[in-house]
Amino acid sequence: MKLLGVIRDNNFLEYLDNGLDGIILPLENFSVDYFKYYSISDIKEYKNSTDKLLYVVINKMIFNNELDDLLNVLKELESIKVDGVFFYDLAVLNLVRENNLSINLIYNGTHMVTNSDTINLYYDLGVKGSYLSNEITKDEVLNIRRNTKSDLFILLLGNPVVAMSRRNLLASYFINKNKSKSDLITIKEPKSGQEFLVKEDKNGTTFFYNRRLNLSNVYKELVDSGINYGIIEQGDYSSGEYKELINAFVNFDKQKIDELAGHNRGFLYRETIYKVK
Amino acid sequence: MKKIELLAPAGDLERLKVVLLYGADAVYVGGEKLSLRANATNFSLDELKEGCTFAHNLNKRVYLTTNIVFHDKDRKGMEEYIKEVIDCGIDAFIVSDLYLAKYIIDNYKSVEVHISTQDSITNISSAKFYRDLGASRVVLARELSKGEIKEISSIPNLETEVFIHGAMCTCFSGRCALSNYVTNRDANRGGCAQVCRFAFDYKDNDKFTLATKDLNMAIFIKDLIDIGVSSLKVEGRMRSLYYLATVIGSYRFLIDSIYDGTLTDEKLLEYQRRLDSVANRDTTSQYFNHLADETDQYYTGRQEVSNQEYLGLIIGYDEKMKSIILKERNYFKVGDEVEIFTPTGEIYPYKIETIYNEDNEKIEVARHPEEILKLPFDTRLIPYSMIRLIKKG
Repeated sequence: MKLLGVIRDNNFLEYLDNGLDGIILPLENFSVDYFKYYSISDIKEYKNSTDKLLYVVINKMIFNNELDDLLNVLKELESIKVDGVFFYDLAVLNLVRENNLSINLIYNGTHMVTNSDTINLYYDLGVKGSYLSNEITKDEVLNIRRNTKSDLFILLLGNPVVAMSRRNLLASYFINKNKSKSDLITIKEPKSGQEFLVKEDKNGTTFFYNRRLNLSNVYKELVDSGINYGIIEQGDYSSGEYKELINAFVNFDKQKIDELAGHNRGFLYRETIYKVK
Repeated sequence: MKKIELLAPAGDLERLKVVLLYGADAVYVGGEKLSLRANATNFSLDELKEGCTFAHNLNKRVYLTTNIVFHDKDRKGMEEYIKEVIDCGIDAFIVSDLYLAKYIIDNYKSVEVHISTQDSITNISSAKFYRDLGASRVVLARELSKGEIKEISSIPNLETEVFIHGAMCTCFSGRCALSNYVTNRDANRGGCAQVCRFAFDYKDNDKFTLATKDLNMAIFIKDLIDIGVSSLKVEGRMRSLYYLATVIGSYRFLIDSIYDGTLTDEKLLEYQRRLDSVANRDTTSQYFNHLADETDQYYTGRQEVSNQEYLGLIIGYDEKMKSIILKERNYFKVGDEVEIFTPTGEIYPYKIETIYNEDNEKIEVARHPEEILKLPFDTRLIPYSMIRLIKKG
């Protein structure tokens, strides 16, 4: 399994030297659900600085007035020769196909990458990778691995994205309360005790689960099954801590990972229900 | 030019009949598998067949929602189910999952595929992708402006369907798993617990809410017709008969009046008031004219108010007593002023002077929901006529 990082500071070369096989860069104006975004010129600079893997995220909902710019950035990314583009909106796939762009696409449907057949269909449409949803069980992950040819990406460690809205929910809230605005708050659902980080930017509002997902306990199994890429987010770790984490995955030290990241295994062993009697 | 379609929800066979009788051109329903309202009373195959026959006899259509984001284990029996429901006579599937959409398109030419709002289609390019895949219609994301809807509706050989009334998701459809994380119920497989309507703790003992007001597009129906939308969709498969009858009947009136050029400002206001009267939340036009903002949100924990103006469903006529027979829904009494309204649009103002119970005894007050009662009335009314309160006596 190759390890990819999502970072929040500028020390990417150190992290790559430390064992990351590549990094994922959310493209500014075209991605959501991240804390740091990169321009095309940033991406070029990164590409020129390393031979390691470089992926770009374009995962916002695209609106008509953004389509021309989207095509332009896709052409730029093709010329930069990034290793892949994570996408949500099918406009990305459509534009790549219509314009015969040579871009390796990874389906990044957030909560919707949950079964083998759909991943296989995307594969047949030219999408050679899929980023699995965080809300499926370990058995489902392994079953998908057995039944698809697609490259599979999985979040090994980080704060899962829970929801995304086009609305400026924090701005609205603070206007109503007549309080000065904050772009990042923590809220708690009182009955379940679940906490969420709520972050707003110009593209809307994202809810993140406030407990890091940590798949260290199945890491070996995922590696053995043939999951191709594992993603480790820096989150609010310091540079030193993040390097320790990367090291702990590279030299697989479960105890160290758990020490740094806790024991939230997400939905690995918790199947969601949908019929309530 | 084809007349715009009024598309209504129906959680069961009775609702299906009511919305079609009250003027819907088509109805969307959930089956026992693959539907995003897993906890609604969904249609069995027999009910689906009966519903399709009922609709087709009225020259109307039935769409089946098969819009879950399925997991591998949900796949079992999918092909058989698709064949079974097609055999029941459905006219279209509303699908979210790309694999399922393509499977139906490739294997069944007799039935249409509409792409669900769950896919949050927000632009021309993704809409074209689905058209080229073989879908005949896309249900647009609820986050679009008039201009954006117009542009997508101009795509040749692709119909657009737009929500005009009912509850709104706070987040993009498909991009929300709040329910999964808070209640372990899978939002994308029909288990949504509507966590966006919960109140969350925030610092200083404050409550953070993210719930939105409902959608009401009554005053923009003409715009939607003019910009080339194909279908106007009402939300609410789990809503009451009365709500559905009122909402569908109102939009039927508005659409027909726009087409025949008879809609006046006064009538529009009257029907807006009628729609407001059955709403249990405040309504706005959300994104249609501007980006949704603080005026489209709620800031208190509970937003719903109950509606008690629905007094009863008319279920028959007593020729001997020259009385309508009704099943009571809410309290009423002698002296109340009411309206009796029918699926075909007739409205009879009526003052309650006498109430008979099932034993033909006079009573002053009707206070037991589901009780069978009679009210003197000269005319036999068609099934599914209803009574609503106008003014308490």
